[in-house]
Amino acid sequence: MKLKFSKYLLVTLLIVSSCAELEEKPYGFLSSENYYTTPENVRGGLFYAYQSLYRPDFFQGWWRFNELPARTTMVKANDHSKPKFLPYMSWRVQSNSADNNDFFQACYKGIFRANTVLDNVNTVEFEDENMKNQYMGEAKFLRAWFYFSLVKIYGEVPVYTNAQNPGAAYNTPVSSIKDIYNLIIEDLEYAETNIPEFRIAGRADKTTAQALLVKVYMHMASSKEFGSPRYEWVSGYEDMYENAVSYAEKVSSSGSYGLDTSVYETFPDNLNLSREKLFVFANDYEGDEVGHTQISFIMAPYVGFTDDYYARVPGSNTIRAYKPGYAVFWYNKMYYDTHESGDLRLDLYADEIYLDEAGTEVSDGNSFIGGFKTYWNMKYAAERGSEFGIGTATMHFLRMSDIVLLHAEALGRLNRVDEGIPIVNQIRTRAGLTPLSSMSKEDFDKAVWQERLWELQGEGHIMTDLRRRRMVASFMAEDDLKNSQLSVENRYAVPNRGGTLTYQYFYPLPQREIDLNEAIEPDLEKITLQ
Amino acid sequence: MKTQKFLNEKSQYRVIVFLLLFLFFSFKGFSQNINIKGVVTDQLDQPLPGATVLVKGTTKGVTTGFDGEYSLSVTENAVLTVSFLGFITQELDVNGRTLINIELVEDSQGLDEVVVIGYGTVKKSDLTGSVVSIKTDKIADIPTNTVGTLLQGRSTGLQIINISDDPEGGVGVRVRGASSLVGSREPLVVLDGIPFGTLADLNQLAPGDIESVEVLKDASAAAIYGSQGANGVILITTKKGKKDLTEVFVEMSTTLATYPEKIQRFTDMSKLSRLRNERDANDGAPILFSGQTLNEIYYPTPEEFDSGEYRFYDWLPVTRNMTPEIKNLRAGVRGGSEKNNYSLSLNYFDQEQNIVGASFNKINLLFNDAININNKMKIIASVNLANTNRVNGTGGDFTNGGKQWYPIYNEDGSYFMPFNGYTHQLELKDDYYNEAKGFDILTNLNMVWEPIAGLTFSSRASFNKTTTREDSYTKSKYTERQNDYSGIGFVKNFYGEQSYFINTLTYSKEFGNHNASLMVGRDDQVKIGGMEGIEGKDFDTDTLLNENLPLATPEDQRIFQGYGRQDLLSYFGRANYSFKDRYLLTLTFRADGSSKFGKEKKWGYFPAVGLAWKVHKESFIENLNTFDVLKLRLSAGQTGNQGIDPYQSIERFGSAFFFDAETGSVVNSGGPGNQIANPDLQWETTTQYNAALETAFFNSKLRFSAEAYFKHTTDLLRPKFLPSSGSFDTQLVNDGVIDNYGIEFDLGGTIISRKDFSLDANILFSLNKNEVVDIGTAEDAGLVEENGYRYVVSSTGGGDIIRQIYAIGQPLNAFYGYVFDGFINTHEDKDFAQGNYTEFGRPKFVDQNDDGIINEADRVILGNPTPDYTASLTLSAKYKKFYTEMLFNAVVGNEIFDVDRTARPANRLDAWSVNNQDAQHPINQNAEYLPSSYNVVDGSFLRFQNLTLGYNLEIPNQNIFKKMKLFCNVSNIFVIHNYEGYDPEVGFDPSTGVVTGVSNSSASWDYIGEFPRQRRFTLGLNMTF
Repeated sequence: MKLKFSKYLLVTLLIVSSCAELEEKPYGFLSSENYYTTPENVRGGLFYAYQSLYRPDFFQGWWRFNELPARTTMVKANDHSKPKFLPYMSWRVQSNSADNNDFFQACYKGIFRANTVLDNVNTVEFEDENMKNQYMGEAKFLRAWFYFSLVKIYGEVPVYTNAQNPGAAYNTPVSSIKDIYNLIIEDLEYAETNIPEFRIAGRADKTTAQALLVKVYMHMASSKEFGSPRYEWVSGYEDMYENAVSYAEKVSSSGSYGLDTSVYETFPDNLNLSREKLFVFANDYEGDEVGHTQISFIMAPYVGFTDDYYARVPGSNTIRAYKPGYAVFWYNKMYYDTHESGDLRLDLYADEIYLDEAGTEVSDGNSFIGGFKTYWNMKYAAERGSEFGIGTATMHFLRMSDIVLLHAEALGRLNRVDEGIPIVNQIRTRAGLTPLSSMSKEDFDKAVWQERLWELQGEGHIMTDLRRRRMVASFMAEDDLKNSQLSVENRYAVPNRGGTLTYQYFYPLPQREIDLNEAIEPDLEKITLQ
Repeated sequence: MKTQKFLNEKSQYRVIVFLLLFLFFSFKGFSQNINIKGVVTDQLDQPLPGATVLVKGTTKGVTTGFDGEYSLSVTENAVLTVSFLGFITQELDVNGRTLINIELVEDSQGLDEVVVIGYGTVKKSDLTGSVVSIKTDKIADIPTNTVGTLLQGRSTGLQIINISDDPEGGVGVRVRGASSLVGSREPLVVLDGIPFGTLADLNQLAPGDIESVEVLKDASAAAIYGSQGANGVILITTKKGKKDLTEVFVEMSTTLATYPEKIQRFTDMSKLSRLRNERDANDGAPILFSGQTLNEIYYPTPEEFDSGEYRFYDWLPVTRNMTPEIKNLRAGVRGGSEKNNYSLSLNYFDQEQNIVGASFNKINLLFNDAININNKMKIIASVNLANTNRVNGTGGDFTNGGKQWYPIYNEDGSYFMPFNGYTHQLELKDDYYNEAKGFDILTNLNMVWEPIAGLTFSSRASFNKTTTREDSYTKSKYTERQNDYSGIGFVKNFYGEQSYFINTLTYSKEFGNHNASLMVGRDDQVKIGGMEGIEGKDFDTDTLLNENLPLATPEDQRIFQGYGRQDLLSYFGRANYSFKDRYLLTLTFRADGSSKFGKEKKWGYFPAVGLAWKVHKESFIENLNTFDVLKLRLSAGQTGNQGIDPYQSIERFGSAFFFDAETGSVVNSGGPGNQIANPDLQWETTTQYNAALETAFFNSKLRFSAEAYFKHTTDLLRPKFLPSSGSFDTQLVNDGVIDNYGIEFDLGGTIISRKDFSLDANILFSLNKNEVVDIGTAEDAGLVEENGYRYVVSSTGGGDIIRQIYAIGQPLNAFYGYVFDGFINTHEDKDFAQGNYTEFGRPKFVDQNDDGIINEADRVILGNPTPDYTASLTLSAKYKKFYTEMLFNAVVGNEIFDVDRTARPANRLDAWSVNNQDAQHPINQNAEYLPSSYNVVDGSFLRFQNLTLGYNLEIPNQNIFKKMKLFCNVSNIFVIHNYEGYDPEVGFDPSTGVVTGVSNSSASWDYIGEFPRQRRFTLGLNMTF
C-alpha cells in the first residue's frame, strides 16, 4: 500500500516538476545585462562608436553627397548602380532617393553608439579619472562629427543626447540649426579639453577636435557672411572667422601633425609616413578582416576579377601593382584640364594602366570608359588588399591641407590677405606651383577656392563648401556652360539636367523619417532655398 | 519448445484470472463453456496471424498464431469480436458451434483502424477533427531519402513542393496554405510521440521504417500541440514488433536515374559564337569571338569554327553524372512474445549526385523494444542511430566556363592545360574537397502504467543528439587563381541536443450509453543548438589538407562559434465524450510557455472543440439502407506559431572588429545596435473553423468525403519599420492578418473486387485561397508605394528590382511588375519608355494610369505562386499475386516567374532584331529587364508521378522464405506543362522556406541556370524469412 502511494506521488511529481527555463538569458552575445561593467567595456563601446564610420552607408553616402553634386568626379556610364547616383549628380534628390535614408540612419547609429558610451560611463569605476574623461571626450567628438555631418546635409534634424530606450517610439521633433551647432561646439570643446594629443590613426585627439572646430566655425562664418539660407542666427561672421583662425593656428602648431613635405607622402595612401591625416579610418593595412573601406573598390580600375592592375607610382617612373576595383569613379577631365601646368598633383591621376610591370597596355583601352577619358584617382590606390583583392586605402575625413586652406580663406575674409598668402603658398609650393604674391582680397579668395578644388578633389568636401559660400547655383551654371562647350564624347552622362537645381542648400529628410516620426512634417521650403 | 510451454502456463494463469473475474461479474445466468477453434483469413483465404479474437463484453480473448488459427473457451451463446488492423471488425454469435472460421473483409476505408493523434490514439470512426492517415505500405517501393517526397499527392490539404533531386532536401511542406511571413511555414513533425521539429530536420529516419503517417489539419486535431500546431502537424509512427510473428527481412533495391529532357544548350559553336558577337554588337561592347586572346583565353572567330579549325567539345559527360544510381538495402528482424516485442532494422542508402564525384550515403539503425514488466506496466524504448556522409563536389560546369572549344584531354589522356592558371573543370574537382559527416542518436523511452483498468499513466523521456562535422579544403592551385592566397581549409562542428519529458494521464470509462475519456499532461522541451569552427588559409603546402589548420598563416586563422537554446513548457488536456456512439465531443486545451517570447507574453492558451455526429447510426438513416457511413464533423479552435529563432524578444548588442592602431592589433568592440527588445513579442494565433462530411456507400466500396475550412491568422509576426533617427531598421512585432480558406474532396472507390482481381481508385482535390488581410500601416510595414493594392511591401527584400510583394487582398508573394506590351519598335515607343530601358527591341510596358510616362506607378499584380487547386489520382490494382499502383499529381493555376526566359536557346533564336520585329523575345543583349508579365508564365502541370508493379510470392511453410516480393518502380514518368524550362515544379527556397515560384537563375550567355529533374527506374526485391 505504501509502495502504491509513493507511485502515485511519483506520478504527481512528474506532472508538476519542470526542467524548462522560460526566462531567456543572452547566450553568446552581449546585451545591456552583461556589458558596461569595466573600463575595457567602455573602450570597446567607444571603438564600436568609431566603427560606425566603417559602414558603407555612412562613408559612401558622405563621399557621394559631397562629391557627386560638384561633378569633379565622373561615374561609369554603364555601372549598375548608376541610377543611385543620378539624382545627386543632376540635383534632383528626393526624400526617397537611394542612399538618403541609409546615410541619415548611419549617422544616427554613430550618435546612438556614442550616446550609449556617455550614458554608461558613470556606472563604471575608473582608476584613472583622466582616462574616463578622455573616453567621454572621444564619444562627444564622434557625436559632434555625426551631427555636423547631418546638419550640413539636412539642416534641422532631431537631436538625441542620450541613448533612448530603443523599444519606445521615436517621435522627436527637429531641433533648430542653432541648437545643433551649440551642441556640436559644446561637445568639441569638451573633447579638446579632455583628450590629450596622441595621434593614433583612426582615433580623434585634441588636435582633431580643434580641426573639426575650424570646419564648424568656417561653416557658420561663411554661411552667415554669404547669406546662405537658415544661418541668419549666427551672431557675427567676423567672430566666427576669428575662432576658425585661432583653432587653425592651434592645429598648425601641433607637434604631431603637419603638412607632409610632398603630396606623394599622403597619396597613394601610406599611413606610416604621413603626418597629415587628422582623422581617418582605423585601417589595418596588413590584415584581411578589418579596415576595409571599399573606397578603393569603387575608385580603382578593373582589369579582371581580383587581378591586380599596374600603374606608374605617382612622382616616379616605376610601374607597380595595385589592387583592383570596379572602375566606377574617376577624376573629371574638365577639372583635370584646369590645373596649372607643372602641378605635381596631376600625377595623382593615372590615365594609363597596365597589365604588368613591363607596361603592357590593357587591351580594351581602359583609359577610356564609355567614351570618357579616365583619370584614375590614385589618392585611393591601394597596395594591399583583402581576400578578394579589395584595396585597403583609407578615407581621409580630415587632413591638414583642408585646415590650412580654411585658415587661409578665413584670413582672406578677415582682410588679412598678407597673412594668408604664406599659408596658402605652403600648399602651392608643395604642389610645384609658383607662390602667390600680394593681391586683392577678391583675387585671394578666388585663388584659395581654386586651390581647394585642386587639392581636395575626390575627398568629400566640395558640395558643403559650395553651400557655405552660397555658390551652388553659380558654380553649377558655370559647370553647365563649360560642359556644353566640350566635345560630345567628353560631356557628362547626366541626362535630363534641365537647368533646375532642387534642394541646393539642404537635402530633404528621408521619407521614412517623415513617415514614421510623428513629430516631423516635410519641410517643403527646403526645395527652393537658393 | 520452451516458449510454447511458458505460453501455456501463462494461458492457464489467465484462464484462472478470467474465471475468477467471471465469478465476480457474471450473474446473468449459467451457461456451459465450450472450446471453440478456427482460422482467421482474409478475402483471398490467406491466414491472418496476429488477429484478435475477443469475447464481447469481456477482456477475454486470444490472438491468432502464424497460421491464423485460434482456440478459445467460451460460453455457448457468447459473441465473438474479431479484429485485425486494416480489416473491418466482425461480430458473430457462437451459437454452440465449435469450429468457427472467420473471413475478414479488408477495410478499404479503415474505419476501425486506430489512428495516432497527439498524445494518444483514437478509432478512425471516432475522430472529430480533420486527420488524414497515410499507410506506408503503398509508398514503400519509392526510392528516396526524404519523407516529404513520399507524401506528395497522398493527402488532401497537404501541398508538397519538391524542387530537387537532392537526397537531403529541397522539399517544402504546407498544410492548408502558408500563414506566416517570418515564422516557420512548415508543419510540426512528431516522431513516435516526440514533437521533433520540421520534416527537413528529420533526416535520421529511413522511410522504410515508417509504419504510418498522420496529418492533423484542423484545430480540433492540432490544438493539442498549441503554439506549434498552426502549420498543421505530421505524426510519424515507426514500425514495431508484433507479438508471435518473428520475421527476418531483407529488402534491396537499385535505382537508375536518367534525365528525360535534353539539356537546353547550343552545341553548334558557329551559331553560338555568332549569337554572342551579335549580343556584343548590340551592347556596344567589344566583339568577343574575334580571334583575340583575352586573359590568355583564345576566342576564335565564327569562321574559324565554320572551317573546323576549332570545334565543340562536349564537357557534359565528364562534368555531370547523367545516370546516377541509388542503392537501398534494408535488413532486420521483428517479433515478439507476451513479454517482449521488438523490431530491429538496419538501413543503407547511397545516392550518387549529379556533379561528378559528389555523393551521399546514410546508414541507420532503428531498434524498438516494448517490454511488458507485468500486466500493468510496460516499457517501450527505441534508439535510432544515423550516420550520414555527404561529399559535395565542384567542377560541374558543363560549359567549361564558356570555353567549350577547349579540349578536355590531351592525346595522352592528361588534362588539357593550355597555360598556367587555366581553370579546368576536372582539375577543379580535384582541387576542392568538402565533406559533411553526420552522426545522430535519437532515443525514446516510454513507461506506460495502468494501475487500474481505464487509467493509464505514460511517462516519456527522449534525448536526441545530432552532430555534423564539415571538412573542407580548397587547394592553392584553385585559390591562387581565384583569390589571393594559397589554400583554404576549415572544420566546422554543428551540434544539437533536444530533451523532451512528456507525462500524460489518461482515464477512460464506459457506462451505459456514455463513453468518456480524459487525458491531461505536461510536456517539457529543451532544444540546444550550436556550432564551432576553425578556418585557416594561406598554407605552405597542400599535402595536409585541413588536418593541421594552425599551419595556416597566423593572421589568417579564424574561429566561428554559435549557440542557442529554446525552452517550451506546456500543460495540455483533452476530453472525449460520446453518447450512444453517435454523438461525439472533443475538447482540447493547451497552455504553452515559451522562452522565445517577450517577458510580458510568456504564456499562450490554445483551446479547441470538435463535434461529430454519426448520422448513419440513427435509425432513420439506417433504414434507408444507403449509407454505410454518414458522418458530420464540426470543429473550431486556436493554434499558434512560435517558429522563430530564439532571443528575438530581448535586446542584443552588436559587436565588430576594430583595428586599434595604438597597439596595431584588431580588437573587438561592442554596443547596442543589433536588436531592440520587444517584451510583448508572442506567437501568431491561427483560429480555424472546419466542417466535414464523410460518407460511404455500397458496403463501403464507394467513399466520399468533403471538408471546408477557414483559417484566420492574427498577431502575424513581422518586422515593423522604425524612424531612421532611432538608428534601428526594424523591430519584430505581432501585427497583421493572413487568411486561408478552402475545400477538400476525397473520392475513393473499389471499382472491381473479385477474388483474383481488384481495382481501386482514389481522387484527392484540394483548393486553398490565401490572402494577406492586414500588415500594419503602410509606413511601418516598409511601404514601397501605395496603389490599387493598398500596402505593397517587398517580399523579396533588398535589391533595386522588386518582383514579389505582400499586398493587401492578394496571396503571399504575389508577382508584381509591368504588363508586357511587345517590344520597342518605333521612335514613339522609345520616347514613351522609361529611363534606362529605352532601346529598340527591349520590352515595352503598358501605361496603366495613362499619364504618358512609364514609371513605378504602372506596376500591377501579375500573378502568384500559389496554385488554385491541387489534385491527385491514385489507381491500384491486384491480380492474383501481382499488384500495381499509379499516381498522377496535378497542380493548377499557379504562376512561375521565369527569370531566364530570354536566355533559353530556343528563345534566343527568336530574338528581336530590325529584321524580326514580330519576334517573341527581346533583342539579344546583356540586359536585365524590369520584372514584367513577359517573365510570368503558367506553372500548372500534370505529372505521372509514380508507377509501381510488383509480384508477391508466398512460399509454403517448409521453405526458408516465408514471403518474397519483387517489384519495379518508375517515378517522374512524364509531366505535361507549358513552362519553357525543364520542370515547372520550381520556386521553393529551402534556406528561407518561402514558396517563391521564381525559377532558379544563374544563366550566363551560354548556359541556363536550371537542370532537368530525374526520372528514376527502380528494381527491388524484398524477402521475409
